[in-house]
Amino acid sequence: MPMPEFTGKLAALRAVDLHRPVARAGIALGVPLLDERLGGGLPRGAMTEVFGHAAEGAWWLCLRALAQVRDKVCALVEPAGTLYPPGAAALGVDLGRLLVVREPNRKKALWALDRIAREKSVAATLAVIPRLADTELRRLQLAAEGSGQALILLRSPAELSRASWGALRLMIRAEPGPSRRVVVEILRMRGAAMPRPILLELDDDTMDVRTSAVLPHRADHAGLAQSAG
Amino acid sequence: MVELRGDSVQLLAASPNALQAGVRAGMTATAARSLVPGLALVEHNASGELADFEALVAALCRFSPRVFTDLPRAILLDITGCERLFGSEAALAAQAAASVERLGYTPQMGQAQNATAACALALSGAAKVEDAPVEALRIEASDLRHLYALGLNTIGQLTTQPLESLPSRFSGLMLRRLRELRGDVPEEFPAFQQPEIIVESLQFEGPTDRHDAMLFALRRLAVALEERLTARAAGALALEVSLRATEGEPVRFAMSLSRPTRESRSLAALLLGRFESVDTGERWFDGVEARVPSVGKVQPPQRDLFAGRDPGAERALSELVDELAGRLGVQAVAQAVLTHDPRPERAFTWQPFAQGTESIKPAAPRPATMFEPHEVAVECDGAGMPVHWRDGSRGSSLTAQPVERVHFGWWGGDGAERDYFAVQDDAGARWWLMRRGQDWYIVGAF
Repeated sequence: MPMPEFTGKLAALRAVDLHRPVARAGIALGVPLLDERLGGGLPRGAMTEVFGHAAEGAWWLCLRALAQVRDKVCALVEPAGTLYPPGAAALGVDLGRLLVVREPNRKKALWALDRIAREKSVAATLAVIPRLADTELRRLQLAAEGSGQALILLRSPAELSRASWGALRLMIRAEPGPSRRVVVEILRMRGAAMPRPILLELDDDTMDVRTSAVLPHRADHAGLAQSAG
Repeated sequence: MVELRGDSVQLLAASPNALQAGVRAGMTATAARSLVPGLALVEHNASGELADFEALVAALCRFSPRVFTDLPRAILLDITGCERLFGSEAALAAQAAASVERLGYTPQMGQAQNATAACALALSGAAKVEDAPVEALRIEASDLRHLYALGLNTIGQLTTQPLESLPSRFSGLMLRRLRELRGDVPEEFPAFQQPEIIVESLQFEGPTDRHDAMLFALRRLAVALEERLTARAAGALALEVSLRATEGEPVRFAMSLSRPTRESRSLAALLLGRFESVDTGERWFDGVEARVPSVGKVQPPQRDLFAGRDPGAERALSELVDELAGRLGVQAVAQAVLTHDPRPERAFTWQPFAQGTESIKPAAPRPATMFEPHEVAVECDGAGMPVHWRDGSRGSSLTAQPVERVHFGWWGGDGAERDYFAVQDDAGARWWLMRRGQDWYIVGAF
């Protein structure tokens, strides 16, 4: 029979759920409505897949996430080399803390991404490598889980039908309007029901979020529930 | 171990098992084989042994500032006062033994009040100097033969003889050794001077083209380099590797490190990563050499209580950068630095990554991506603002922000004038348009 002073500790130990994922604070995007729907932002220790085109706000969202990281270095792996650093700086990305892998060879770039994704001293990595195979995605997801990084893959909408290992899948698209409007649709979020899309209205000059609103599932924008962004 | 001397093959040294069977240094190979049929004989490689021996000595310099050699038999460390740095003499000996083992050798150590006694213990493996065989005194072969003939096989048996009766039969070296053993005369050994540049090499047993053999060799060299660098309290700032090809020029590669590094794990990751990108062709190799042309002081990790810096993370990041640069090249692991040049394509430069550089924030909106200019047909309104574009079968009306006019380069003779417009198409996508003369191009996306 256990001694009385150990009874409480024993009960506490039994209550520990070893299978429960370790909660890590996500990288908040600085848009309260969106961050709340994402459970705190883009998850750390997991892979986020962002689908969308550059001109429709996909890069904007990814760079905004990197801009929120202040404590550690971020990395970018993009064989195509289209990042325009002044644009990233304009969005608040600290270029002095952005490690950019400028490797046009896809195989080498993928090796670099795999290596960086395993690195605990890097807070977040953005990768734009087309046609990643399922096994490669799985490796990257495991690497991110091990390192605790927020691994963000920016992918073409044409790849939406491919299998997903990411904890979070977002679809970014532009919305016509008098000023810049971006819709963030949550396609998949591990352990949560899919919230409705969020419409973000941006300032034309600063690219900052002016307002945010929840959209109905269908592309029916009547009756937006406006809220401060 | 044997060497050809004159017409006969003579034994230079024998293993403990062979010594037990009666084999002695100075014997001919024929005599030794008559005692131990099937005795394995290894030819003495004097230059290779000396190089390996010197590398070993250099690695042991971390345990004492006074290191001496009795080439090629013994390494002598005067550890007077050094034991305090390691806790005790036993702890120092254990670490030194571990160091030797890491380099692939089996240490045989002895510790005594004077070097001759310590050498005798180390060379013989005996527990007491008296029990050590006479060859552990490092004396000449002719003296050994005389001693064996007299039945004097151990140092204990020799030291019981009156010293005055020995000069007529033996060389001056043996008498000196006996006096050194008693502490009657000072011992003289050449002090070891560390070479300026650390060089470690590995000779393969035979020519090979096997990739895994190369990787193994590079890992071994990384371990050896760590020992050498630790002995110098330094870290490598650059590495040069040369794979010795059996035919033609060696295959060489080099790399620079962002901070002084000496951990074998990090060095191996760098060497292996860089080797992966080296084209060795169809060649065969018989050895590999690693040089450290530049070293720096290794800063011990310190906790920064005020700035919130994490030295462990910084070190890990440096290792990451080095590994990436080693494999992809220094220019491929970069950071962008903004400039004041008004030309958008020159508004930044790429530099090797070294976190901490401050960047300028651009005043005007800039796209997130920029690509090769793609020409499109654009219609303008009366004020010259773009209102519609067409690219093949696609087309869209446009809403444009005010023009940004860029004049530049006239002072250098390559002056030009361009207009840039941030435009939004009717689907809500936002682009960066450039007008040069009458031509319009898409150059970026926001």
